Amino acid sequence: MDNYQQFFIDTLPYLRRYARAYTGDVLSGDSLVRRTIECAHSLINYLQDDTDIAIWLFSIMHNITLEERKETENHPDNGVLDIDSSDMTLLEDIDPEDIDIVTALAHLPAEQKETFLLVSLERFTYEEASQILNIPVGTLILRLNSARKYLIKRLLTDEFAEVRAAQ
Amino acid sequence: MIVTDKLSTENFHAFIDEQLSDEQYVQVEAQLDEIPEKVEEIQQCQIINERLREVFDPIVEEDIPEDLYELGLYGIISEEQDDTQDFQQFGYEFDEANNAITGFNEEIASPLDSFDTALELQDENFIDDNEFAELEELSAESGQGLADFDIDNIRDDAGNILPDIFGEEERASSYATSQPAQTADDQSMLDEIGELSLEPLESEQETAIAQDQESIAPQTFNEGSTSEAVIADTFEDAAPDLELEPVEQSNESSSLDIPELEEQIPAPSEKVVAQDQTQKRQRILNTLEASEELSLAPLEGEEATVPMPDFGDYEPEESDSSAEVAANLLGDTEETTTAQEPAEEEAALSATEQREVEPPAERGQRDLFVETTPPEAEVEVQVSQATAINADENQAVTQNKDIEPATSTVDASEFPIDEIVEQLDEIPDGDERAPSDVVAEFFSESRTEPDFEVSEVVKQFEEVADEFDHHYEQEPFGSPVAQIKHKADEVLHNINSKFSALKSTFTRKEEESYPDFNKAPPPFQVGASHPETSRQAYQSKAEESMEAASFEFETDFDEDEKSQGLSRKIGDTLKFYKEKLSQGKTIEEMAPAGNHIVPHVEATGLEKYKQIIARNLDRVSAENRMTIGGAILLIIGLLIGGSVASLFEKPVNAITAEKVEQLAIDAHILYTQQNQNFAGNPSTSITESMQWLSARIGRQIRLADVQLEDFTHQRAIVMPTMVSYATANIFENKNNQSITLLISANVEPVADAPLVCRVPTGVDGLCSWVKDSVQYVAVANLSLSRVRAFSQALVDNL
Repeated sequence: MDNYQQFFIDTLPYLRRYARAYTGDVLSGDSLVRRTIECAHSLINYLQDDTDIAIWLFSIMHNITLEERKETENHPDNGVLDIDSSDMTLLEDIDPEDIDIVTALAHLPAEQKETFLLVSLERFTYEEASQILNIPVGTLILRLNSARKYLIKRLLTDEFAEVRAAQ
Repeated sequence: MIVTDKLSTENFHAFIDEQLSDEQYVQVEAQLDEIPEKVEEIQQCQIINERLREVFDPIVEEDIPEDLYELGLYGIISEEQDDTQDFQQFGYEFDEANNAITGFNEEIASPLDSFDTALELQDENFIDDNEFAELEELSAESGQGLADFDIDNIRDDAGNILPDIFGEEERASSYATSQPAQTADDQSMLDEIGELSLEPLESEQETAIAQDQESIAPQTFNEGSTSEAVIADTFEDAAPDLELEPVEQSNESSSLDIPELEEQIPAPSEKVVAQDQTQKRQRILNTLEASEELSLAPLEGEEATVPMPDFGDYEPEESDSSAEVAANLLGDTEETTTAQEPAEEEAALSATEQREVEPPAERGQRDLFVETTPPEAEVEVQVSQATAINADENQAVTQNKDIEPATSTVDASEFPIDEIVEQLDEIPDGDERAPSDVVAEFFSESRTEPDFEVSEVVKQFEEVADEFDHHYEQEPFGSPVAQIKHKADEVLHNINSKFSALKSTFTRKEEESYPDFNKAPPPFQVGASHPETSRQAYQSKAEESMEAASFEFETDFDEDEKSQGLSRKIGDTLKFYKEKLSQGKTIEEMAPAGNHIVPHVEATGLEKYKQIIARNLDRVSAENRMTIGGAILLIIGLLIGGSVASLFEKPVNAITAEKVEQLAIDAHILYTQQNQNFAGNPSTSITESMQWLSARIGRQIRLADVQLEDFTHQRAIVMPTMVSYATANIFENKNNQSITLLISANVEPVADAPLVCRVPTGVDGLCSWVKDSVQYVAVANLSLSRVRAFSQALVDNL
């Protein structure tokens, strides 16, 4: 593929959007994008002509986050953002009206969050999202269902009203 | 996507995410009319979607950071771009600073480039010699321009730019003010370099020296001769209140053999004798005097006037230059003079008490090199510092000794250093004598000299070298001072050579003892000879010895170390080498495992206890020996019994249920999700798979080829479980959903276990059960209820 660089550039804004929603802040999101692009350049020889570059790039990003999660499981001290406790300063850059949804996303399990973001935010079809996440469509639907139920409970019901008011 | 009468979860979310076709959309809408709670849920999901997109969609419109853009295009971020970004981020006016730097470089580089270009052109025969000469001239002119490069303008430019760049006026001004000081330093350095560059050629130097000698010679002659004048001035500096009288010329007291040379030697061009130098001499002299080992013989007639150490029956000969040197090292020059004129001592004492200070001109004529003293010096010596009685005069004597060491009377050519070194060189390898003994023996046999350590000889010469270091720089080649310094250096060099020879001998023996020293070590083998280990032990031991012995000489000593520790180190080193090489087992001691078998660590440990037992057995009675022997036998029996008993224990050859479950998860991920590592036989039925497994685990497993929830057996894969066999059976349905059933034997616990289902990490459902010590694990990325139903059907079928 000759003009893959242009595809990279075209996909960058969407990668940044997904990465920022996934990580919760600008620096971590851009860092994730940077690693994704670096990895993609190193794997460019394996890219085939009929490959959807967007799906390919998002799947690389998913694999990177998957590796990070495994590392975090092995080393809990290097955990991901605990947005409720010590890293609240990161929320200073976020619009106060958006804190609730950013916080709710931060509390979603990673598998559910990436499924929900790929479908709802990036508008991938279920087949594309399952291809990115390397899971069956049925599994993807289950994760999506779980994520939406939690978000409805967190953002729209009275159960978390006090939490939302505190934010 | 099939739309049934009942609204499925998939359709529900597909409706929210608008992933249904128009036809499907209408059908789902019709279904939703009957389920109002689902409608509300869909609305909530749509609200969340909208909120999500409101928050994060603006990111798409943001400008992409330049580093990400560069990375996307080229896969790498250039450092130059990073620097530029840093400049911009931190407010540096990059262009302005960059232009200043570039302009600076161009100004410097252009003349150099022109010359380089000329060279290249000439190399390629594009220009002839004349053209090259023109270019060279042009380049030289440019180089002149380079020399006149106006650094001040550049500095001013930098000073003007700096406030803009840093926004710190103070910092810029301090920078600008600090530059002239550096320039001054640089200028002084350049001046020095210029002086060096103006240094004449060798022939010109000789001419200049000759002219200097002519101009200096009359003054030198009036003041005395050469180093004596310096020494006299030193004496004056050290003890200005001493009364000094010119010495009467006496050819008898001279011990120099080079009068002609002395006459030709000009005086030093500059008298540099400092008070600290005198103090240093005083310290060295005190050290020498405090040395009890160095017993030196007095000269005739000295006993009555000079307090000297007890030399026993030793009576040196008059021609014994070694004794004279040693005496001179202790400042016996004056005593020599005094002994020749005993009658004047009392007068000198009274003269000392009067403390008359002579003018410098007369002091300058005080000459110990009497043979070369000019005949104009007619004043007799009335000084007898060595006979001083009171404390002040003793101090004066000490200072006098300090100021007049062997420099003035030492005839270095007669000192038997060469013979000492020869003796040291001739020490055979097997000689058990220490070098100091050899030297002592040499003196006792040939010179009837009192015994003293060779380290003291070295120490003396080291101090002589120190003493004349300062004068040596000002003395012409061939002067007595230079000769002594040269001799001191020579003896040290010889001693170092001796050490080097010993070192090479040691290395040679080292290599002889270990023939494979320079070969690559063979691979490690348990219980075998370990040349590598031998070599390591050998090397480390040898390195320690060598380091302790002689490597001190390869290091640079500072003054304190040099004056305090060098001689001791030389002596210690000589002794060390001598001892090591004189002992028959020296090499073995230094490298015990040269090329022998290195016993195993445990064997070494047992050897220690064997030695202890053997040593103690000699001290105990026969009855106790029996007791001890019985106890040892009992212990050995217990150890052997324990080892034998362990042979009858049941070996741990079972695998835990948890490990089998993890193996099933791994197999499912490996062979179904990735679907690319499959190496089994697709035609293998579950019946064949069970037959294969039953034949290997010795137990019949009956599992019919059943179809459960449309899942049919597709393939079987043989898998190892470290202790037994297992098969992974893949079931798939029409929708390409798969379930992996792993069957493994020899699991623990052996008892049957009921069907248990859970959601593990990695897959969505896992069910496991044990029957007849055979474990079955069903794994799938399906809902847990479906995996449970599949597993339950298998349990019922078994």
